[in-house]
Amino acid sequence: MTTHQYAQPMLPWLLAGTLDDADLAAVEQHVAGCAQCQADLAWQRQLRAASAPPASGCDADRALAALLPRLGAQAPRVGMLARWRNAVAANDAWLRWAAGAQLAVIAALSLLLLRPAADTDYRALGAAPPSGSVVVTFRPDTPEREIRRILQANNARVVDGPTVTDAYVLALPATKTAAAIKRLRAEPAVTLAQPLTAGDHP
Amino acid sequence: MHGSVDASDARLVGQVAAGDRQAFERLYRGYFPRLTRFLNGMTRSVPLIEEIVNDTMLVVWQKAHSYDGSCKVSTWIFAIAYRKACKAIKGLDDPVDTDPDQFEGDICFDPVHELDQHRLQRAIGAALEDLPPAQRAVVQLTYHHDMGYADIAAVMDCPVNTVKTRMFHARRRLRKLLADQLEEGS
Repeated sequence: MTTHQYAQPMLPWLLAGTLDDADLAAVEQHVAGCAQCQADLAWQRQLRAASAPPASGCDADRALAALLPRLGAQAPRVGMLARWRNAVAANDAWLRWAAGAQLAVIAALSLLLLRPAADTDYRALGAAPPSGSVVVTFRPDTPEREIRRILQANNARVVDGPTVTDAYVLALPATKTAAAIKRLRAEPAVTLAQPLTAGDHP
Repeated sequence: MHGSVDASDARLVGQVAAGDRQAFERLYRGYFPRLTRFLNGMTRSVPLIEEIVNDTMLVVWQKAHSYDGSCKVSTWIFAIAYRKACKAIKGLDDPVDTDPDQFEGDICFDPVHELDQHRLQRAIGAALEDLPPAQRAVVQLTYHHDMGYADIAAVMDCPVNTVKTRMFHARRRLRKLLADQLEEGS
């Protein structure tokens, strides 16, 4: 498509001043060097100036008076979602608030990420996540592969650890905890397998 | 339309959705002149124009809760008005690719008359009436309602290219009809 073919259909909106920035730059640049488009634009300018619709003789008061009785029979339906949606549509100030809140969250997360790890933090085993049910320690020389095998064999998942005492907190299937603990204790590599909840004490 | 004006309109629509009659009346009076001007280009009948405006604004009253802010309030209301006008003058909404030359014999003005402003306006009015309503609506919305082609596409519920095509046919037809009325640009 040539620039002329692109610009020609746009001339009415160039004249009306409603082209967006990208169209406006391209069309204006073409028109500046195109005698045919300039002539077309001049013709449309005359047409536009002389074609303003005449007054219709309509009367807003009269028409509104005819409409108002019809409104009574129609109670507008509006729900909470619609009210909120309309409020958002009517007021773009929320965008500034949302952007501000987003920036605050990003700043807070950045601070947390940049803060050095607190090595001296004390964490008791009892403070482990609630999903963990058993605390386990392994012999120090147990290979990672063996630890993985033991976990998989018992359908266990590490949810915390290692702690300062090299203990791990495991999550086990709720209905099979006691049997899993028994199996864990039977493993030569396991030095401790202890339930965290009071009711599970052996 | 200026952004703050549309935001103010959107606020009114929100109040209308909550059943606020005063807000509705403000919206009605704000849009009445613009809608009548637009509809006057579609139909010259004053009672019909007022009826279409009222049908349009009744839909605004009933459906205000469904306005979701995805387009300007003016685009939303003009789209309703356009549909109501098409329904009111049904049968006149010719397809876009109608051959404009079929109207050749229907020119309803005498081009030999003296060119003065009043006569020119009458001639242009007659030429516009000679256009299919869809083309006439595009001309009206482009020249007299500050709408870009994308807004017009939303009002008329058609692709942007259809708007451009309608305008192209309208310009070609008007140029032919008004050949003796408007000077060709140099």
